[in-house]
Amino acid sequence: MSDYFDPQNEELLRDFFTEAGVQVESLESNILVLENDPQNQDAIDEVFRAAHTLKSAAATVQMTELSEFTHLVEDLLDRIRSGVVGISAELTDTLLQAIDVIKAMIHARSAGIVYEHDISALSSALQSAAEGAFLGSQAPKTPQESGKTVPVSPASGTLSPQGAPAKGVTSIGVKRVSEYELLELRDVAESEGQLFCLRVEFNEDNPMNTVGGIQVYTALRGRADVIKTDPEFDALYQDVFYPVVEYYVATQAGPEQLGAAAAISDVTDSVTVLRIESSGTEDALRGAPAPPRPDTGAVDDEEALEELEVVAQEDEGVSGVEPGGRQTRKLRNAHKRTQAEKRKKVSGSVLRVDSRRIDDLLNLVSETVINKASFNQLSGSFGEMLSALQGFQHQQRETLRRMFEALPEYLQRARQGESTHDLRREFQSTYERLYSLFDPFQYRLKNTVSKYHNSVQSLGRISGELQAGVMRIRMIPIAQIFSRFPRLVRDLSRSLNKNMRLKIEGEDTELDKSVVEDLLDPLIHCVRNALDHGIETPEQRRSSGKPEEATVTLRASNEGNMILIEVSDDGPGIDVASVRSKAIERGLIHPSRALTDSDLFNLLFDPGFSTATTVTSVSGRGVGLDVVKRQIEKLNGDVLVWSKKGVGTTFTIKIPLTLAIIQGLSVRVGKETYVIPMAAVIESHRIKPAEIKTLDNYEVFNVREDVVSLLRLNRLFNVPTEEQKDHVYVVVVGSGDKKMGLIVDSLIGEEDIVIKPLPDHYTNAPGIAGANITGDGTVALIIDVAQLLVLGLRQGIEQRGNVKGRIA
Amino acid sequence: MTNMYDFPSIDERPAIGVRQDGSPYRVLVVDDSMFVTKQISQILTSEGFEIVGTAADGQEGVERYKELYPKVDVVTMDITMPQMDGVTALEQIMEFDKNARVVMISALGKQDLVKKSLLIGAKNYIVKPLDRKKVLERILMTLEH
Repeated sequence: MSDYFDPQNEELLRDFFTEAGVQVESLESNILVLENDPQNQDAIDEVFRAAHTLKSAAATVQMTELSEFTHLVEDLLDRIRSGVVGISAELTDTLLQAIDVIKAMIHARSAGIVYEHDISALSSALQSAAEGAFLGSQAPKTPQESGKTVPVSPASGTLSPQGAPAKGVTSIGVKRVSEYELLELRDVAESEGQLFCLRVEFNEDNPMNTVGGIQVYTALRGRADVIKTDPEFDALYQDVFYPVVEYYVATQAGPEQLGAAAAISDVTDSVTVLRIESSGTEDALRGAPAPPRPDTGAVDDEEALEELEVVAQEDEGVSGVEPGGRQTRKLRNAHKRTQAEKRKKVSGSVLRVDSRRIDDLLNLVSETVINKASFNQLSGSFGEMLSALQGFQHQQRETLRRMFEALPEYLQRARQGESTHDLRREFQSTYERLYSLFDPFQYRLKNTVSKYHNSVQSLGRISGELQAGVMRIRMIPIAQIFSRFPRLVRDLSRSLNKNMRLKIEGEDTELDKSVVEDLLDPLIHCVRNALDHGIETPEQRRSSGKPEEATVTLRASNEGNMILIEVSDDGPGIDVASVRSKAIERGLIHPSRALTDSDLFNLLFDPGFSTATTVTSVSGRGVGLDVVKRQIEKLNGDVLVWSKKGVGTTFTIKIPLTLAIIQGLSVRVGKETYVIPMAAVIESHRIKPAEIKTLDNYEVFNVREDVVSLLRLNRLFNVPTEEQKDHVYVVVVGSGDKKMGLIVDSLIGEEDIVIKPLPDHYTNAPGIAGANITGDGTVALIIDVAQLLVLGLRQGIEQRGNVKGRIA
Repeated sequence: MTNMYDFPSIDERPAIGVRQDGSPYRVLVVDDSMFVTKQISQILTSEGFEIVGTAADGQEGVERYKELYPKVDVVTMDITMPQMDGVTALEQIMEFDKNARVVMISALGKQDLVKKSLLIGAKNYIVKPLDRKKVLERILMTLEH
């Protein structure tokens, strides 16, 4: 393989994986649509297109196992599209299984390995399905389309790799062009004009005879769309001479123009242009060979082209070459793409962003530029004012100097008996100016300062919008994870023998990419839980007078800067009594303890809690909901359960829109500033040291009826500070039922904090979640409250050990 | 045809490198070898072409093309050159002017690069050692298209 389509090409591969993901998703969702609505032509077309694109792309990046397997799927889909094979639940299962294999193959490839599991059973299932083995279950549904029906036999043997027997030999017979390919050729031809086959013989004496195939290809490119070549494009690219090459092209141009384009002196010996009929199923090739042409001229015998001739083409020279040239188009596109992206170095994960958002940003950036200009102006006028001030100061000094010099004279005149009144008037009139000397300066200063304020204000507004705009770029619709659920629900309901429908609402709700990625697992847990425990069997539902089909709703919505995701079912609801007895049995609560229903529901999130009497493959092992809670808390979110007997259960997940910017409370410890995420702050107190009590060697203090243990941040982070003070500040932090008071020197204030991740070697520092750069450029560390709660406990135990040691 | 034999004339064949209106075709020669540059120039000027510029490497070639554009009809581009090779230069020229007519000059054995160039958009190629007839023929072919 030439280095041109280098399979190791990182960029191409990344594009491939991104695109493959999209195709697989589209396959899956459309197959599910088809299951419910087998007549949906759009879905059929889409599913077919996705499989085809995936196959071609896989071939481009040389993932043969993937392209071959996808080809089988595509064949089957083709049968479905043409109405030969009807869709049934079994068929959907087979297809979905195949998609799972495709996913696994892509996954394996992305990990750098080749999928090696045995897929022969599935392959043959696909093949037999394509050959109509499922016909019994459901007859073809579209008899009106039977005119398009293609013979089934040619589909066989498509899996075998290189040197496969010629497939798709149609009644009159064009070797190496399957009817599927012709179908595709015709598809293209419909939009782009006539279909031709150019048979070009090359001159072996040409010093660079191996270039000819490509040269003719590029020569044709300007006039026609080359759909396929035989030998395929890849082979032409090799350094091998092929005496004869066939080009399948779609074009508006006439045969004579094509012939002229393909004829290159010294390179080609002869060009034969054949017209391919674009209607009917005969697939006959019409046309006649143009006579071998000398170096000079154009195709000179045009009439000959119209002669009808059925050509069964025989090319001994190229018989070893597998037909696969329909990838040519894809290759060419891929080639164009690599060209365009060669210069664009992408790193990290790829994010698709609505271009309007970029435009908005650009707008804001231009505003900052204007803003910058006004600051430039301001700095100019401040400079001017400084020199003006110096001028006024000079005047003032000069006047004062003259005044002092004149004083002896005035004194003398006063002594000589001049009236004080006159003297004072004269003195006043000479030096009055001193009063108002700075007035014009003050006026200008006032003006400039107000302009300055305006500019600062608009800078604030712009940077705020800019921040929001950049954050919006990271926002992706939650549909990206919601879209996985239809399949999940379908599979689960089949395996659980329950009948249910998934309703998705608010899939346009957007949230930060990093949040979306971490949200999938907990959501899957919740939905599984709803399916398994939340919903009754159809029999139970019937007996309790509900519709047999249960509904599970996934709903996302915005609430302030939080996102609400609800997973609700219309099942029997949570049995409060059973939860309670289970909790007592497990020793989670004391039998005499009074708990509200919602307290009891939240016990479900305790590790090891499951009210399911049987363990199924889906859930019931008591791991799950506690994991959900932990994962959501990691996202600074919260999970709540609400349930009403007989009506249903709702899990509500609340998470912040983004993790990159948080509200934080800045506090001071010694000389250091720390930031405590506002979401974790419950309250703050200013207390006298005397209020700190020692309980069981823990430092604690009373907040109303509660006792809160204290942690001195200065001790935890080893920051030197004065501990003996009149007052200390305590910030009470916590999540859920765990609380803790952090002792700090002072509170600074509340602000928006941009979290900067710390380099790897600092992330091990306990209790630190990240860093933030404050307005004056210093670094403030952000406290990881959840970790601190654990840490505090340990610290307390250690301290206790130390004290004991000292006593002993 | 017979006319010509009847009345032979030294002006029987008009210079190839001149358009019907009498203006010459303008050529930019990009080649790191002085010898080849000269050779191509001689072949072309003898047929009435005008050499509007020469460049000794790909980088310079691209720059010259951009300077001359649109007053250049065809570029001959060597494939192996220092600084920037001909394929890259071709890429950049095509990017700048998608209708650019570039003919690659290649030594034997560089088939893969020639193919690559053709795919990028080179209109034709000439194999070294250069043959007067071939050079003229291929360049003309490019201009006719």
